[in-house]
Amino acid sequence: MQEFFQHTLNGLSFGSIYALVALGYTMVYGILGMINFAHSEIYMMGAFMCFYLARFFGFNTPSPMNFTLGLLGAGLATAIIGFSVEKLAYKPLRNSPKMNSLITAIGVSLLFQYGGQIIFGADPKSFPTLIEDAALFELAGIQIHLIDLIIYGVSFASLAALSFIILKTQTGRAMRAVSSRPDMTPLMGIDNNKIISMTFIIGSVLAGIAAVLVSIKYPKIDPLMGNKIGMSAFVAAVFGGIGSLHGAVVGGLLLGLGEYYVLGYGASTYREALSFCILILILIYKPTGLFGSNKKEKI
Amino acid sequence: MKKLIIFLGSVIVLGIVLNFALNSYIQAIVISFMINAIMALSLNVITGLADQFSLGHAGLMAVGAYTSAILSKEVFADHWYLIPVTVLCAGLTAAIVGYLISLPSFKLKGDYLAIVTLGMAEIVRVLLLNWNHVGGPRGYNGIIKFPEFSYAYIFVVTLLSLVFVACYRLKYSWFGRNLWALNEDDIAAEVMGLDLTKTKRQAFVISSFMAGLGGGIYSHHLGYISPNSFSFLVSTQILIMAVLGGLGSMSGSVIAALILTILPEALRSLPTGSLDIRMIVFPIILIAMMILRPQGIFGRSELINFCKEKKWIKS
Amino acid sequence: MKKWAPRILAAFAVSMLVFSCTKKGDDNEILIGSYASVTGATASFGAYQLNGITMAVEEINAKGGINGKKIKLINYDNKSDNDETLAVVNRLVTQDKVLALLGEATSGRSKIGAQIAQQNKIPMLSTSATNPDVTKVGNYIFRACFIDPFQGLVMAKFMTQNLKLKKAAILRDIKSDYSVGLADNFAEKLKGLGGEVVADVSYQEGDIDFKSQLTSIKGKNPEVIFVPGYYNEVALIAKQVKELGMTQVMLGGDGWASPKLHELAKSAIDGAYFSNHYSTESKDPKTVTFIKDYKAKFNETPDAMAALAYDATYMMAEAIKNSKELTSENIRNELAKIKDFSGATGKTQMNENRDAVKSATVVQVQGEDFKYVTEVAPN
Repeated sequence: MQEFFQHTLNGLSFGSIYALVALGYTMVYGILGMINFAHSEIYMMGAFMCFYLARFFGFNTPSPMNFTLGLLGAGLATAIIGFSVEKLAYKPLRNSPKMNSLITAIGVSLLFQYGGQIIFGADPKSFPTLIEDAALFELAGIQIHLIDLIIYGVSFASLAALSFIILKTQTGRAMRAVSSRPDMTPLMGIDNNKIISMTFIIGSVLAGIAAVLVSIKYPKIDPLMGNKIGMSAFVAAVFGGIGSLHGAVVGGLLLGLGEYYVLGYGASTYREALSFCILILILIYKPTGLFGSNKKEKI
Repeated sequence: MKKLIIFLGSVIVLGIVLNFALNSYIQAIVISFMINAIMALSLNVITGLADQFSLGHAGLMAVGAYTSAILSKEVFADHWYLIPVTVLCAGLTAAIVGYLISLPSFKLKGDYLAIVTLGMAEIVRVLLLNWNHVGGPRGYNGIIKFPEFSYAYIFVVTLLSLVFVACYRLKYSWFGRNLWALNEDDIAAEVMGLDLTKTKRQAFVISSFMAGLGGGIYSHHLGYISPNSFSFLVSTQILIMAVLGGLGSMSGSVIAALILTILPEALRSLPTGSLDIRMIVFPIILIAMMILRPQGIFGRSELINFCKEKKWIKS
Repeated sequence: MKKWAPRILAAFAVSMLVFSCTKKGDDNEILIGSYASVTGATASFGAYQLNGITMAVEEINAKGGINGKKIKLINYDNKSDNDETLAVVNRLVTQDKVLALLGEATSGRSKIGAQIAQQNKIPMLSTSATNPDVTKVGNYIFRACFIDPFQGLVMAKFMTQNLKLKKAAILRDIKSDYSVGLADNFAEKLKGLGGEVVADVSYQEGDIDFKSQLTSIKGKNPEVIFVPGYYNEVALIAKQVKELGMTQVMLGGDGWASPKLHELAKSAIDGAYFSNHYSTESKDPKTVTFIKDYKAKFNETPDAMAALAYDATYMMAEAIKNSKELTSENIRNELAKIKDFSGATGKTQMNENRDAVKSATVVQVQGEDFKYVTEVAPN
């Protein structure tokens, strides 16, 4: 029983990370209708930017202040990177068939991965411990760590903030409008470009934050680290219903849990296959995912 | 038919000449190019002609490669002259797998299909990773190769020519036209009585068969395969070749495969020190192409049309 | 078809011929090739391997080369990738036409390179591949280090005789030939010494989270956790062992030997033991000089990979020196004859399986250093 609980905690912890990254995928798909393959690389850049910023400005000792600085730094860096990628690579293709954007996204993703290997060096680096991990208390025989609580907390806070933005603010309403009818929104006085950029920025910031959290917990970072997390998060987004925020979060948590149960009770090497099996089953039986909406195709 | 035989004959003669003129490193590149061409052609059938985005061709290649390797090692006891048989079986197995994949998938559109094919390829890869009999993650070693480059060359060139001719004629046949109709406007095509799902499925099976052939030769070319040789990156590389050549252009795929096989090797000679810029070149080409010339080199038309018309910019 | 077919063929043939123009080698140079994983998952090994080789080559050339001829080293990075290894070794052997090959640090990739080297009859000296299968590929393949049956025995003996513990859990990396081989060898030798393997779970190189595997190990109550993997994962595993509140001592093999181990694991791995090829505390004059020179050149303490690569290069140089004529076959024969070679990693001699017979050093991780604990001689 204790083992089950441990697996559950691990799963939720990782699931929150998937949720944070999945939000990025789902938001971009909702607004632009394209799968942003490069999102996992923005995640990776979040970790690396924080690494270099921490080194440059010298805040690599554990302290709450440094932790916040790290998060802010990563968030800022990823916002800029996400914004630039959108402007340079995706905007020119906005009116082209979707396949072109997809291919370009793959290209950008590879560019970051291999460029990262060249610029940062392909060997893994050790991420600074920005906050001291402490075993806080015991619950049913399992030690609860500060880092995990922080991960849950930050994820939850991010989701709450995002929900607030999307549902209660003007910008959020504009975003929902653009994702629904981008051809009409300019008539309503909404600048599509600004909204799209805003979407990318928010998604990227979330990914950057997730990256910092993960890197503190698992201090090994390398330019290809986005791959596995990105793939799983993407599956989570589709699982939950691509285009739906709640779907991304629920999908992320469920996928995290599922993976950990498989790992714990089965073979570790089937982990990657699990996400895809879930994905394919969902796509066959409920293609729009858990929370996705069924858009009727007008002939 | 006669043209094909003349062509084949001249290429084979060229091959025998090359056998003596080149070292085995270049010979390996030649075979590599032809394998890539077959893979690109196979992807072109489904993504170019049928406009069904497949990100999972590496998985089909893997199925072909492992089938052919297992047959060679275990059933045919390393007789190299049975390699063509194993390659054929590889193609058939991949076709069966392709059929199974296509069963649930073609209700889905566009992006979703891409995801499902990607998922299938990853599942294949993970299954192979766990299959200890074929070495699992450490790979399958000691696969028999053709004893002489000229044999390998003749076989692969013949195969490539057959695949190429098949694709070419497919494109201009009634089946190809069905695919084009599906491509242009699937709802209208359905209204005209075209069974969409069946057509797409057939195209996918054909595509998988060719991918399996490519995989089969691949394993006999390298002598060593591992599940990581068939990752998403490989699917992407095949995609880049098909896109660069032009989705729907068969000769384009072959030429793009040639360029993209030679390019990394040529770049290896560049004195860039410890920087490896070869891997960056691929994505840069891809992005630049998508932004500047998304139809690739030939677009939908073939090399022969290009030579006839002088309109090189528009296509 | 008739029109463009000959044109395409002509273009193709021309490009191929242009391509195959190899640079004429300078007759006064000895071409030695090396392939290392300078980038990628085991980048630390490749980087240090290359450092060791380069330093040795520079020293040899500074002293006038071998029999008057300087060594020209051609190195390619295989990116810790198997397919890339295939391509670069092929290139070294057939395009660059090297006389001999140095590499690789890991067993999996050495096996791949060995096949090509053997086919083309080029002698290959692996710097630190410990899996026995590598030299079994053929009589042109050698190694400069001990093999895993010995290493497994060393750690099994250390566990039962020095630490006086019996129950071990194994956590192996199924992606690596080395890890699987060493895990199997350790398990076998441990059982032979009266110990018991209570759990045997696996992970893959590249994983970052091992909590599930560790949780299931925890439940089986081992006294020792044997992790015969590479440093990146070992470091993370050590951290997670501590996080789960597990107090068992960790043991491992030479895959741990990298400064990155401490960098990633910090204090979590202190107190763990592993078998290594040498110890930086050795008083052997050759070791001391090597460490001093390496520090002066590269500004850091050399690890076992660098030291082995350095020795391997010198062994190769000795074989070349003793060769009456500079052919690959002669070099191979001379390599097989190496008897009393003494280098930075101690005394070496080649046995009839073309494996080096050397002693292993068990070290304990203490902060950034690997402290010498004991030395086990080959029997």
